[in-house]
Amino acid sequence: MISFENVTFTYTDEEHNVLEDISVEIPQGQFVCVLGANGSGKSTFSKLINALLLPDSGTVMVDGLETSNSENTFAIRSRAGSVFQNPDDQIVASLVENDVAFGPENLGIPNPELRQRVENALAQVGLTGFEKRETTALSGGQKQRVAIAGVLAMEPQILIFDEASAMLDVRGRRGLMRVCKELNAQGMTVVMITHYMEEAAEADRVLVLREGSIVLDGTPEEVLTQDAVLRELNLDVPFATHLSRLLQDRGVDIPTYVDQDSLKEALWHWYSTT
Amino acid sequence: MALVFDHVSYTYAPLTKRQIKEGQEQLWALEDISFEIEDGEFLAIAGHTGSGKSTLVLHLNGVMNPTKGKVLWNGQDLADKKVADQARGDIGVVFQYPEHQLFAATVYEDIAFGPRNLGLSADEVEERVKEGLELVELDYDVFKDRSPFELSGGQQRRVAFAGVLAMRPTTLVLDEPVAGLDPASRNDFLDLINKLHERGITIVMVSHNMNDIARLADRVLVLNGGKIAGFGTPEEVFSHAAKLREIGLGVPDAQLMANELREMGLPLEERLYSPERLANAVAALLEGR
Repeated sequence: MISFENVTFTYTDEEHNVLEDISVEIPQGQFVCVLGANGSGKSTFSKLINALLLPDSGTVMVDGLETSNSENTFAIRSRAGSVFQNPDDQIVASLVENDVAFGPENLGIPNPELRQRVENALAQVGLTGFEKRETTALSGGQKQRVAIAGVLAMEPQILIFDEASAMLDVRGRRGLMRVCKELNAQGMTVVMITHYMEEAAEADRVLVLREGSIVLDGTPEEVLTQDAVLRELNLDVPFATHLSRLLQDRGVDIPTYVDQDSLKEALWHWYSTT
Repeated sequence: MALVFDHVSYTYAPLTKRQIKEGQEQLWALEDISFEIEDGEFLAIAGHTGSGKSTLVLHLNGVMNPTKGKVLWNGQDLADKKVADQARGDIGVVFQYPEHQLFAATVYEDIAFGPRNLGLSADEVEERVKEGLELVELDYDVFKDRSPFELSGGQQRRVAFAGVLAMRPTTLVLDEPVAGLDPASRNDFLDLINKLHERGITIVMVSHNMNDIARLADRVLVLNGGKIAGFGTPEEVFSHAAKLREIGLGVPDAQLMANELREMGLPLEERLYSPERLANAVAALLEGR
């Protein structure tokens, strides 16, 4: 469980608060997407979870451990791992297996277990057989999966993706999303900062930030159908929502959908029964 | 016809005589590419990572020269260094993440760099800087003395654009111009590019966002494995959804849904790549029953 209680945060050179009195709880196993325009504080939010940043006031707790207590930092970071935007910034070794082993090796994990962790982590991201490959020769999507494997080898409970798919193409993004869904199905909490509405539509819960405050919080159906609000916040509207609205404008009597498969089925149902 | 690709092939690693003797096959980054860019058109270049998009872009103003074949600019071969030098002001290239190339202490100095190298007078340079900033919709008096590094990401990218526009290009080549921007700045930028196009500038835009391409481009060139895998209007290209998927490219959301609905049995026409057209077609279909 991640909990934010009245959290306020400011970078030293900023005049206004980047996060303003945020209170939110994320239970273990939830898949949460965080949306917001540039400068809304979403990246700051993600960095507060695993003590990369500490709140100016209020408390952030991860599984009952307060991030502001420096004695907890190590325990929190092994529970909550982050994957960032640029895969090239996160790869430290030249061979895939060495890169994935880097974290647990530093924890002092001895060899049979270390090897096992690397093997498991690579299997989880679908890169079994890539152990001896050179990290520089991988595609962007593959590098990003190596970065995730490096985090998984730490056996975390919480995975934080800070715009981790922003530099990937369509194929890389879909692959990354599939990995996230599988890890989440195994019980891992996933916090995903993103601009892509198609990713948000697949989450359990969507948080929308504006100027450091949470302005929307709910299921994708509750949040992503509010197209007028999303546009006002300079966010995209999911294609299915956009098309639902266009159809409603043209007199088609259907609800507003957020995912394309549901909309497609509704249209098929409508067509075949009327 | 300002730019013509005539059977262009390019390799990063030409085989040695010995390798040829041993029967090794030459790998091509571009292979037998022929097409013409028409004056004033908006051409999109689409392709999966590694398809040869960036290699092709570097051929557009003579930064790279073909291993085989020719790139012609106004009928002259761009492999000729003199021709390439002349072409460089006329064909402006904006690379990926162009804000990484900002270097000067002020916005003015950064944009003035190119025009000054043309040997223009101080008055003319100032004129060009004003013009560049006006085209990217940044206020000259507000921005000219600011450090480019204090600006937001979107503003930095505009300044980088202004530097290229200050050279008064007739053709603007953009390699993934909206990569890494948030949705709002992305839309602003695409509008800006469209405005430049409406002013008569020929646009060549590399992108893998099929929705953007559907919205803006007159024609689409699809690259796969260094070869042309499709070339035509967005309508023509997007009607081959299965082929595009095979080479790792999507089709616009609307086209994808139209295709899937058709497969499920809804009698929809084939070319429905914009949400509005799809909505019209579906509404008409349901009304008719």
